[in-house]
Amino acid sequence: MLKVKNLSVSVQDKVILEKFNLEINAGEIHVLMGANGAGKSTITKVLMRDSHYKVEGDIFLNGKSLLAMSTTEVAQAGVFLVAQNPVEIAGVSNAEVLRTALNDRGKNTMNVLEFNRKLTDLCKRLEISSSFIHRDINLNMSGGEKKKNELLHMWMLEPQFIILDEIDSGLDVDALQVVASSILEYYEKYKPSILIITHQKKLLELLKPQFVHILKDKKIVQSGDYALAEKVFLEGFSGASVMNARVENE
Amino acid sequence: MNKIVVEQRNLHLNEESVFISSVPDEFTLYSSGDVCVALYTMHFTHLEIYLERNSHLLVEFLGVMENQKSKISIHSQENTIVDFHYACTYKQKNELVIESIVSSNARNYIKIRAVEDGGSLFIKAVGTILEQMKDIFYLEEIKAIVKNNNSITICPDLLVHSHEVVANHNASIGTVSDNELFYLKSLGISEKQAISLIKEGFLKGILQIEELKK
Repeated sequence: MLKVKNLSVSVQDKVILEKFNLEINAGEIHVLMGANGAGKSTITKVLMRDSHYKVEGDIFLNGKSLLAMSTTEVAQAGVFLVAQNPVEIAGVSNAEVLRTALNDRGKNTMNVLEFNRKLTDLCKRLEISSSFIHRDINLNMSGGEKKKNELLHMWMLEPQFIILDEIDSGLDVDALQVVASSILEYYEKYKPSILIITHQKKLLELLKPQFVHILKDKKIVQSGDYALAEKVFLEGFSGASVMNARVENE
Repeated sequence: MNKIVVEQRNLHLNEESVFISSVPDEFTLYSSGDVCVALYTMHFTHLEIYLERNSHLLVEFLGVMENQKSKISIHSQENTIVDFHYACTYKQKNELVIESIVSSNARNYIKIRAVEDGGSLFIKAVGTILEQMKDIFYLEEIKAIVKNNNSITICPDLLVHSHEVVANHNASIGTVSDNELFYLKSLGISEKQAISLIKEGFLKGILQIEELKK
């Protein structure tokens, strides 16, 4: 599904990622962990083709060069990013955006009533008011509401590759449960690939990723199964397991 | 909400909400009580608005200015509230002058949003508060989105002759936000559609009458 090969990323001559490699197959759940400022959010933006970054290396999405695609094309190819801080846009409603996004994909087969019915049902499942349908994008929403609003978009657009950039930040215990359950329900239904970025144990306990990667010194220094995440939670990023991995890698 | 075409030069509204699709080149609006007016045309040269004492007027404009020179004069009596929202896209060469003469115990909120669509716009907003007027809040807020390297001229002007007044004016000019554009494109929306949504949203963001109807 996604193959990142020897990726180097810089912004304003500052190198953020170097020799970064990652492979995620269809239906796999991966988590990328690393200290603050390690470059985790950078990789999410590079995958969405944010033009602020200078990129070298290769990224393939379903065999096609992702670096040759625009942001719109990447999204239309089935990649969906839940950003750490979703942008607020005044005067532009969820319904307007979703209808336009579906139209631009050539996927809008629903009439207005079906469209509204589907959104209303999703709002109920995400435990948010159906007034969200006509609310401005993320405007005056709490942190938790913004993340649920992003999931509303996810369910409507049905992506096959989902990037969750600290979706758990700003969520209380109950909201985290709703968000994690919704992601798991989506995973069971569509079997997408998921790349999670988080610092929190709770989200990983709920989503149970099969692959864990540690980002340090601009690249992935260690990969493993869920046991690696547990080691990090126990020892931290400067703990023995990660330190040894860095030495081995060098 | 009644939909009307204004043909006479004077229009009297009392405790009404109207949607106006067409007006004469010069006309005068007399408003009393709580009045909502949605004016979805910009084809006039001079509009005068008179607010009676103890009244509240919400007046909103939405449309396209194209080679247009318009002047709007607002005269409010004591203890009035004016919510004035003007949202336009402009093409070619345009000029907009808004004059407000404010009385005691008045609240005037003048909000203007402009989006450039290949052209120029000169905006002059003048708020006048005469001597011995007191307990006044006056806000002038002008925001514009222009394309790269293009310009808009904004002249906010406050003529305050009294001390018991809070009067603010602010203006900002920018291009379409990169963050907003990236967000919409990352949902699979084409750049052209995303820009169009952001510009429309920017204009509609100040309009309240649609919200009130809901």
